Amino acid sequence: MTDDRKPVIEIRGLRTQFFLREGTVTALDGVDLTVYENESVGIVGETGCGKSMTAFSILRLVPYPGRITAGSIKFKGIELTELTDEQMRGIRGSQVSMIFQDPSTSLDPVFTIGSQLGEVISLHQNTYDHAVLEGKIVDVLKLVRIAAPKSVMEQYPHELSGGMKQRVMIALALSCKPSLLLADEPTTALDVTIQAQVLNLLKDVVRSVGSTMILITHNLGVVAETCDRVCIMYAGRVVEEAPTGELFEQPLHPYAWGLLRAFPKLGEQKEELEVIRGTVPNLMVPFKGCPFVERCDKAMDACKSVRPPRIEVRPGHFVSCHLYHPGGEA
Amino acid sequence: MMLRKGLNDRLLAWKMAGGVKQTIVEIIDNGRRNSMVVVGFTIIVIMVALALLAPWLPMADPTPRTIVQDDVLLSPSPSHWFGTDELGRDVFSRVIWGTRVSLTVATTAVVLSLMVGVILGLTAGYFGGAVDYIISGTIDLFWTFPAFLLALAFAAALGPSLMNVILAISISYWAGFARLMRGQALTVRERQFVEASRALGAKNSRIMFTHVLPNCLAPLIVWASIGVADAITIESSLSFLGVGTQPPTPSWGYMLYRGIPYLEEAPWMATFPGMVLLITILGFNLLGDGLRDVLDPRMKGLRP
Repeated sequence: MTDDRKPVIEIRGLRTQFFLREGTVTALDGVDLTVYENESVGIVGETGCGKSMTAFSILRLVPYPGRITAGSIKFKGIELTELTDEQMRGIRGSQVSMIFQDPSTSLDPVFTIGSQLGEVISLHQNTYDHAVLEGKIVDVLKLVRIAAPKSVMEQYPHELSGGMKQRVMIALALSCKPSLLLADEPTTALDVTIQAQVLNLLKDVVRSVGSTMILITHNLGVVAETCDRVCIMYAGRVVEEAPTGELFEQPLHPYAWGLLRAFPKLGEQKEELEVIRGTVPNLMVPFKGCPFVERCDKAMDACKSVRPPRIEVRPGHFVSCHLYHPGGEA
Repeated sequence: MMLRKGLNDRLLAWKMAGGVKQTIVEIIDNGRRNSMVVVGFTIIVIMVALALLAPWLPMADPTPRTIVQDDVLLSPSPSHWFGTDELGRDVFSRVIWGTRVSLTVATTAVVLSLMVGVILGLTAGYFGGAVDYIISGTIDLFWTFPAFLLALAFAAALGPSLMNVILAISISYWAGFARLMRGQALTVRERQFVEASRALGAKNSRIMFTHVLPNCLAPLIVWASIGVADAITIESSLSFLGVGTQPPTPSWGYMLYRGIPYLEEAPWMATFPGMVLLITILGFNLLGDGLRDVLDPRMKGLRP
């Protein structure tokens, strides 16, 4: 189903570890993810499961003392893990961009919006002519549907509302028409009333620029609305990957069941939402089997000792769980 | 793939100017309403104007070649406002010319230590780790000594000359700026816009000078202002002890020293230079203190 499309980014066996004094934390443990051109993929999972770390690893901005210890990240055929720092800087912002959670802290408070946009555009496009630069800045601001781009250009971040700031961030990230946009919880810090607005804008703008988006969120509603495919992460691993509709109708991994059950549905009467018992395992302790085994109702003996392989149950629907193993009970 | 080498100087200058502009606009907007800033600023403007205009003011020569016996130790009068000294020189004229020396030495020394301090502090705070360890160690080493003792030692070792006084003050003073800058850089580098600009492809030197530094300007300006006052004190003290500005160049510290034996006979010889010194230092301190109040929200938590 997806084989005819061109992959933008192919992650294979990515492992990112943090070397602390107390021990080694394996934040990402063999992440596999392929994202194709012009689609948007959601990465869902609870706090600390490695969603953001996947994005930082793609940009090679894993904070100290962490580093990528294994695996490959191929971006349009270029192996990102082997690039020099300087080559990597050329990719950040112009080819792969990122939007952060909190727009109010992601903009430099002492510069006008225009000068911040100008910096990114001139840096990556070698444009230093003021008139040309201004035209480009106005175009980008129009793209994110800012009504009065000329006056916003002259304003400082603190003079804008949260929604406006996030639009500016989107403009900043998309100003050089990157092939891949990493959106790390882009609506979490926003007012509920403008979340949908910003999401729609993001979806439209990404499409109009011809970009591909990886949307990181813990909100399944956001995913349902925005993404073509979903990838569920748990304890640094991808446990399930499927087209959005299929995942919501037929989730395969027990963790995905739990996530969906914990999410309220329209028109359903529930006194209390269900929770997934237990907590995320300590990533400092290495484990051989499935990381979800302690919290899983269907845990088998194999789950404790054998790492579940990635199985394509249906075309395009992958799951890492022993339940679907040819020999397992399904 | 686009690869770019080096920093674009024009863009950097443009961005830096933007940051400086923002801070200055803020100072002017809010400083006008702060009486300390207004008084301090007025004093400084007057002193600077006097220093600049000294050669053209209708005053007696501060360093005449010949001694006129009739002019020795005259008390203040309309023809000699601050009286004359033991060599018959006009004290008023010498005080005004002394302003030139004090202000030049103090501002040059502060600018020098500011540059060294900012670059080292920024590097230490931004990169952290081993770099920070080495630079912080050096800062602490210099910080351990009282600034004046260090300056005295260096001035004595380097030999008396104007340039050496500037050097001695800078050597003893840069550590304070470096410390301040390092602390500021430590907080600013953790803020998300630094991460964001890294994710958008900015290199370290660009982030340091266009994002971290402009966000630390406010406390630096306050420190620089108070620093000038300190530097004037140190310069005068060095001259007082004979290792600073050398006669016949008029300097406040040396005039104070020469005035001591005549305190009873001709109190004006030491009193007037001392008063002008006091007022000048007061001016810079007032400005610094006032600016601290004006810029306070950013000194504490930086603005939201």
